[in-house]
Amino acid sequence: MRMRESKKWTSLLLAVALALGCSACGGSTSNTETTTTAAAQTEKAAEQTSESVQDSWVPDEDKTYKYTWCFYQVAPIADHPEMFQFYKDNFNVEFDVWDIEASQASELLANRIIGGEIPDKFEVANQSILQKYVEQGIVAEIPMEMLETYAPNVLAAIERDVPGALEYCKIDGKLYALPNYSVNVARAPLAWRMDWLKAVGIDKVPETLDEFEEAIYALTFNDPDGNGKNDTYGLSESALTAVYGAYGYIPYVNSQGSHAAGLWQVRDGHLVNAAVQPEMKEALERISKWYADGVIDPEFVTGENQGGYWALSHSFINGRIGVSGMGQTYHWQPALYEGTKNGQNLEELLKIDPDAEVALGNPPKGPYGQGTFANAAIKEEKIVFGSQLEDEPDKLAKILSVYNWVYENKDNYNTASNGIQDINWHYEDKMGLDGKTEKAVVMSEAWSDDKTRSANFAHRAMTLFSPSWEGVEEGASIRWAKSVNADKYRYSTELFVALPSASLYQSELTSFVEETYYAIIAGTKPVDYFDSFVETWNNMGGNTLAAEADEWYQNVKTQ
Amino acid sequence: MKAFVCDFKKYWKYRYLMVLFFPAIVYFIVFKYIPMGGLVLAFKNFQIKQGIWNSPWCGLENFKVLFASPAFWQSFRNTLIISSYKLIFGFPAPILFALLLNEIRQNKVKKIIQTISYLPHFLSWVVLGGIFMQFLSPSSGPFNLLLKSLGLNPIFFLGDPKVFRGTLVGTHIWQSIGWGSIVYIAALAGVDMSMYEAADLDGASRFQKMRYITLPSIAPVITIMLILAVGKIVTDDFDQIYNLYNAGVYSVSEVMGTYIYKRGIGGMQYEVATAMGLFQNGIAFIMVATTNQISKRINEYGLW
Amino acid sequence: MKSKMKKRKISVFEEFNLLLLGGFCLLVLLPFLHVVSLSFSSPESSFAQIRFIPEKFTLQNYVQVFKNKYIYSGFANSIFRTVVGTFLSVLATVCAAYPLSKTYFPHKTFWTLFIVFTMFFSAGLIPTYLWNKQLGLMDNKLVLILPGLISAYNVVIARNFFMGIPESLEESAKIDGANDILIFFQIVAPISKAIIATLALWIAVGHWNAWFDSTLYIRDAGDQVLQVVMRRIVLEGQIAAMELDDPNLASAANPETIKAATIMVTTLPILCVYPFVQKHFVKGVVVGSVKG
Repeated sequence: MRMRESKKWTSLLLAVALALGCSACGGSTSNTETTTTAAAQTEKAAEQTSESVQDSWVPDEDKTYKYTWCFYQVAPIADHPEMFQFYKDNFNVEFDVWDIEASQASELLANRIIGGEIPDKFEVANQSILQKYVEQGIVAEIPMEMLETYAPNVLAAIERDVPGALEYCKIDGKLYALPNYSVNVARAPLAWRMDWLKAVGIDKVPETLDEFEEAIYALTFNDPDGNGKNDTYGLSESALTAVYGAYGYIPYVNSQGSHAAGLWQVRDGHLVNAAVQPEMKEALERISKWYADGVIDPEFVTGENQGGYWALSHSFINGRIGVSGMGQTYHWQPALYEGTKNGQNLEELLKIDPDAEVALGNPPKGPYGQGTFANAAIKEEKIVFGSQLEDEPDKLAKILSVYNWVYENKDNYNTASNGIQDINWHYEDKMGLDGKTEKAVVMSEAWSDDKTRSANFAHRAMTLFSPSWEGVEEGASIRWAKSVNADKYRYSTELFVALPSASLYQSELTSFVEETYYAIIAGTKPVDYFDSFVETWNNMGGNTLAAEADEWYQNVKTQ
Repeated sequence: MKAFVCDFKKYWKYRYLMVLFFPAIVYFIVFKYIPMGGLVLAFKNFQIKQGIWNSPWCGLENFKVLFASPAFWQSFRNTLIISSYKLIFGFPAPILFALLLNEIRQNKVKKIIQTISYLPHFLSWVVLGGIFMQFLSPSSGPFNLLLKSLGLNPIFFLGDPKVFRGTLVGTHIWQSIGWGSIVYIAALAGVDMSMYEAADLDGASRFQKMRYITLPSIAPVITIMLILAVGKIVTDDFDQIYNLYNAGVYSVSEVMGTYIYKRGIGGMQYEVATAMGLFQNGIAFIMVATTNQISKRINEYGLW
Repeated sequence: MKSKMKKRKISVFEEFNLLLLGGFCLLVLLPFLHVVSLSFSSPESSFAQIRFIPEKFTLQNYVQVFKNKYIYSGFANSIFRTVVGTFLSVLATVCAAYPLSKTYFPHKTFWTLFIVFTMFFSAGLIPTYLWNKQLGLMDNKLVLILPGLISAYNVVIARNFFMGIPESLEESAKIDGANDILIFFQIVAPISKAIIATLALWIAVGHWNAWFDSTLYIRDAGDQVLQVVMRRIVLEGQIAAMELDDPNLASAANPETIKAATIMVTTLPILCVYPFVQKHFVKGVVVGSVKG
């Protein structure tokens, strides 16, 4: 009896809850309606001649434009940042910065967006999210002509540094985002313990895969650290990518990379997935032999980093392995001139062993020619504008013109990323390692790090990417990176879109690839397992993705 | 109608209890039941701009997407296995700890041990992930150095698929044993001292007292905690696993939480995540209801 | 002779017990010691090695942590939410639990299920966020307290303890004409210190450690709780997602030593609460949990 009663109660209560829930969740309806009508208006406007469309783009000189703003913030904005005043005085624009903790940025931002608040400018973490936001009408289209008219400098910089990068930002031929790249981040490094190599009688950094093999065997068995114990290994996880690269493909991107979607490369005019190419079987055969011989750190599966700063290779720093591919080239660069620091890995290594020596090598030449290594110059993150700016094209044009100012010359860029010249920073002549003198940016004491720059609405607040400059001599760090060939032999995926079925299969395939590769290397699966791996990969949706990828590629090629 | 009047009379009779209880009713309706309407997301094709309620229905599509994937079932299996281990080994651990602690006579020592024991509860897995990687390293970690000095072979706790689940359970116990024992320690504080005195007079041994006085006294708490723990068998500790695992052990430790997280990164699949949550919760509820019935049959108390 | 034997047997057990628990404490302490000694080490020391004694002892890291202005507002906000939140939550929890412990409470099973149900079915992040936003809780300190005011889990445990209170205690008061509310606050609550202390500890620590709600609902950096401030410092540099634009200018992320000091600064205050709670766990409090 009581049971029945309580059932009645429960259902009643649930009904009430659901009904109330409707009203709770329907809250954003009115919002939607206004957007759709507004969108209809824009469409109508678009039907008119393009000249009058462009009239609506012209920013109002007397109007103060106010933007809600999200950027990769390492510290909260200060109370009255000088850069706010700077943009107000010079461009009549104001910013309302959303303080979003960087480590949770995607999730927190997604909640706000779903809650109906779209910032005027924000960043998306990858292609699929961009695609999703575009489908859902969250992100504004950036008309190509507007970009050409109001931000020619931005366009020119992209064309100069990474031609084709805008392709990453288009969906169905329309531009929705601006790319994020850095000419400083050149390529994943291949850092050798040079003092160890010398100790085992190798005088130069290995160039071919055979030399590579010889070196890692020597580093393992010839006691490079001279402590009389057999406690060193050749390599661990991160340098493996260079070995795959020597066979022509990069099957997965290790923990440091950003192309989580897996690598797609062109083979005989078709776009194929790197992980299932037959050359990878050869690579695995070689690597698994190294593992069996004890040349690869048996702990390679847990990676080289043990927490803290992401790019540190603890294995390398603690004198466990002789070659590492952790982080980026600049994590291994020496202090380029007075007042700068060693790259983080070098710095930590020297703390433990002041006599250590690091030399950066090229990715080894393999049986199929020069090897490649992951290129991190173009990042997956992109800058986008909220869809509300489609209704206010003048507002979008205005902010593009501010970006245009930033990318006009290096001084402006330095102001945007460091703060106000001669207050927050100044130029000083510095002599680099190669004896060249350059005008270097020197921060004032109080503004010396990322946090204070971020708090001042500088740092990454108003910059899109880090370009090269015409007519300006390259900075010491780029010169150094080029001196170690970090601008060469780099490779990144050639698939610029999120595939239609990617959300169904991609994450599982990625896990499966890594898992299988690791198992074959560690010998828990034989090398011949690779063949059935390929079959399973295809059956798990890999063939669907491969077909979609190639279809996209063939379309792009014919265009 | 009659029943209603009857009910009303009953409620009037216990109106003071009702006054105490009323805030809870309001709270649970406002903050739990109303937003629960959002679970319809599991049956919707979510369109951000249209909001949850106005998004088009898609029937069981999200569940189909989820269930169609073999990786999902693999993660479901791993979740069940890891959580069962945690239940079997992790559930009795704090009880044992509380009992042993209870046997310590020196009050100061007792307090110090207790305070130390719950320290790990305050370190997040993000921090612990790095620490464990260093401490459990087969070559350089202190734990394996100890094993080696005892003449044993080092164990690759974080990289060997055969031991990784054990590592998860071990580190889970390490982190939660002290904190989890608090409820039992509080219960032990309630045990009637006169019973021990009587037992002393009868010459009962320490273990007899533990067996016949202490354990029965805290049995209701243990029962309730056990029923609640059974409900957790389909949930997983995302933070722990995500910060400790690697590609070498995916096959044994990819759980539902990490699986859906990886999928979500690719495309913000909120509907699918909601569907999975509903699936998990449904199972948890059935498990708890069943355990509750069993418990009621055996020792006459349960959750409801 | 016989009694001597017995004493000896006990002490062997006790020694073994102490050894066991002592060993466990060591196991727990080692990683903690690592963090502590890192927090007292100079930033010039190596971050890549395990250590149990500080290298180049310094207090500089702590000085640095306290230079962060958000640490102070974080402390204030965390203390506010912990004190007010714990008080309200404990009050609401016991008020919900006590009626459910009475067999004569009308529709007891239904109301228990009403609460237990929420333990398993919860709305999920997005609906909860949208609803709380609609309730006007954005940027409102109450958002840190109200949505999580009562946990079904705590209600169940508290209810169970109240069930163990001998009926006779209350009956005599009832004869004197006291109502349930008076009985609860004057008789039941004072003898239920152990469970109230437990709940308070759980809830207080939960409040102190919580951070996600604060980042989600609160926008102003000065209104964030201490854990958010700490995460910002500790997690900095841990994700590769976004990197520094110009390696020449990039000061490295916070040194690990400062991160360690931050962890200590945010953890110690709540550890100090424990001894106050612990004294309520003394044996002999009348409340028993003899029956269910």
